[in-house]
Order: sequence, then structure tokens, then C-alpha cells
Amino acid sequence: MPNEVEFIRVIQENEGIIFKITSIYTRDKDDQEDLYQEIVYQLWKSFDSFRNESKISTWMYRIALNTSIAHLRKVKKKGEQVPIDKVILNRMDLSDTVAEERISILYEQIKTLNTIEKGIVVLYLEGKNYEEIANVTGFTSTNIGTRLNRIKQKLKSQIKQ
Amino acid sequence: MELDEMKSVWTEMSAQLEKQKRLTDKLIINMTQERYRTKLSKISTLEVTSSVICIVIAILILLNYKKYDSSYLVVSAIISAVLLIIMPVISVSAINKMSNLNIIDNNLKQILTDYAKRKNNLLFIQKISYFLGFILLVAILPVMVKIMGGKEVPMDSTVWFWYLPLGFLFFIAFSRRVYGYYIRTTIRLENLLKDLEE
Repeated sequence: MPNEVEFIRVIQENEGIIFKITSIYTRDKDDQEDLYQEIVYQLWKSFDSFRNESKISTWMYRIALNTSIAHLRKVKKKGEQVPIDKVILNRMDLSDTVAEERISILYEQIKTLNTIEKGIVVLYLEGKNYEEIANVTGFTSTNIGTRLNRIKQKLKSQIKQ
Repeated sequence: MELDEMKSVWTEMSAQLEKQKRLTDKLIINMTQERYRTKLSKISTLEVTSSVICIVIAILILLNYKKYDSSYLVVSAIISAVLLIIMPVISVSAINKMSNLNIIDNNLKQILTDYAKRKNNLLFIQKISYFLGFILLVAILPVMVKIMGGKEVPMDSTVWFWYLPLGFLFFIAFSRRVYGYYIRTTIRLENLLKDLEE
């Protein structure tokens, strides 16, 4: 049984990670709510196995990305959900409309990438270095460099279109 | 938007999110507990219900073995019972494998590789089950007629004249859709595996 107090503290400190991953890997708020809960549950299940060998955020990214891939590829069979207060999922209601638009373009562009690219790009945007990205994804650091270059080209070609 | 610009927007957004911490202790615990209950209740899914129906029919066929008074009925009954037991077992086992990906110990590459391999296996089983389903359609008719009414359906009965063509039409109509889906998904999985190998 994981230490409840410690678990709650870790989740609250890093809740932004879950929000960002679920925003990228889902199409609507219902999906997002479902995935959000599944990630929290998987983190809870694996919390005891976290041994401080890596940063807590790296561990969270790994579990969150793996859950997103495994969960969304299943046949949709939604179970009961805890009604998450809408403010948790509707966070980016900013007063600055320009910023809001830029964020929406950002998400749109990330969503055009494939599953692997999405995972790599999120970690890159989070400021992780090649080695950390390689650690979460299982690719080599060199391969991450190659893939990021390919993603850059892909994004550039989207701008031209 | 280029990657560098995306990074600056992402950083701004992350800073905003940091200021908006909203998850309460109660909500976090509720989410874990509710999910745990949901996982347990997922055992009673459609696949399990249909498997139970198949196995009940197989038992019914086997319990009525005394009624099968010709070798053609005995063979039909054996084929039907075996298919009714084997098909759901292999399908449920393949579906279970799909939903038991090791999220905790694996990395993204391993998860996707496992997914692609298991999905390929599931597609293969679905394809085989589809053809076996057609054999079942033919084999089960005389057996069920015998069990329900006690009469035998002779090989030259008029029942076969409408039952077989209808079954065949149904089979052709579905096989076109199933084949298309199979090809598209296989190509997608091959591309995914190729991408992972690069």
C-alpha cells in the first residue's frame, strides 16, 4: 500500500504533467477525464516501485506516456468516473486571447504528429535532454536526435502548406 | 510554429499551470479508489458474457449426445462443441493480452512494440475465428434441430437450400469489410514496427 500522504504530495506537485500529457493524447474532454484518472491510478499502483533512481518527474512522464498509449488503444470501454471538477480540465482559460490562441496552435501542431513523435516532442518541450528522453522512451540518444530533426522538418513543412 | 517557438509557448503555459494547482487530496484518493473498483467490474464484459453463452450451448450439445443417431450428427455435434469451446477461449485470451500491457516496467518503445505484436496476434485470431464461425454455422444447424425438435435434417432437406446460401451471402458481405479492416490495420502495425526499429 503506497504512502498516501506522500503520493498526494507528489501528484499535487506534478499535476501539470498529467494535464499536459492528457491534453495531447485525447480528442475531447470526456477522453481526457478518463485518461487523467487512469494515469493517476497507474501512478498509485506503481508508486511503491519508484526507487528514486530517476527524477520523480521522469518516472511520472514514463508512466503517463505508457498509460496514454495503452489506454487509448483499447476498445473504448469506459467505467465509472469520478466527476472531475471542470476547472481541472479547463485550465487554460486565460484572459490573454493571444496567448490562448498560441497554446491552441501549439496543441494542434503536436496532435498532427504520430504517437512516438508526440512522446518525444513533449519531453523535449519539457526541457529534458536527449539522455533523459532516451531513458523514458527506450530509443538511443542518437536516435532521439535524428527523430527530433525529422519532427522539425515535419513542422516546417506544415508551416509552408 | 517551429519547434523553438513551440518550446517558448510551452514554457509559458507550464508556468501558468504551476500557478493553478487545483487537485485536492480527496479527489486524488477518489480517483484511485474508483478506478480500482472499475477494474474489478470490467471482468463482466461483453466478451465474457458471449463466451459463457457459447460454453453453455456446447454443454447442451454434449449433454444431448444420446439423441445423435447417425454418424453425420455425431460429427456435426463434435465439431460444433469443439468450436464453441475453442473460439471464445482463444479470443478472450488474446483480448486479455491486449489489455495487460506492462505500463509500469516498460518504456514507450517496448509498450508500442508489445502492442503491435499483440494486436497482430489478435487480428490473426479474429481472422481464423471468422472462418471457423462459418463452419460452425453449417455444423450447428442439424444438431440444434435435432435437440429442439428431435428430427434429423437430411442432407437433401430444403432447409439447406435457404440456410446455406443465406449464410454464405452473410459471410461474403462481412468478409469484404473484415478483409479491408485487416489489411489496413496490418499495414499500420507494420509501419509502426518499422518506425520503432529505425
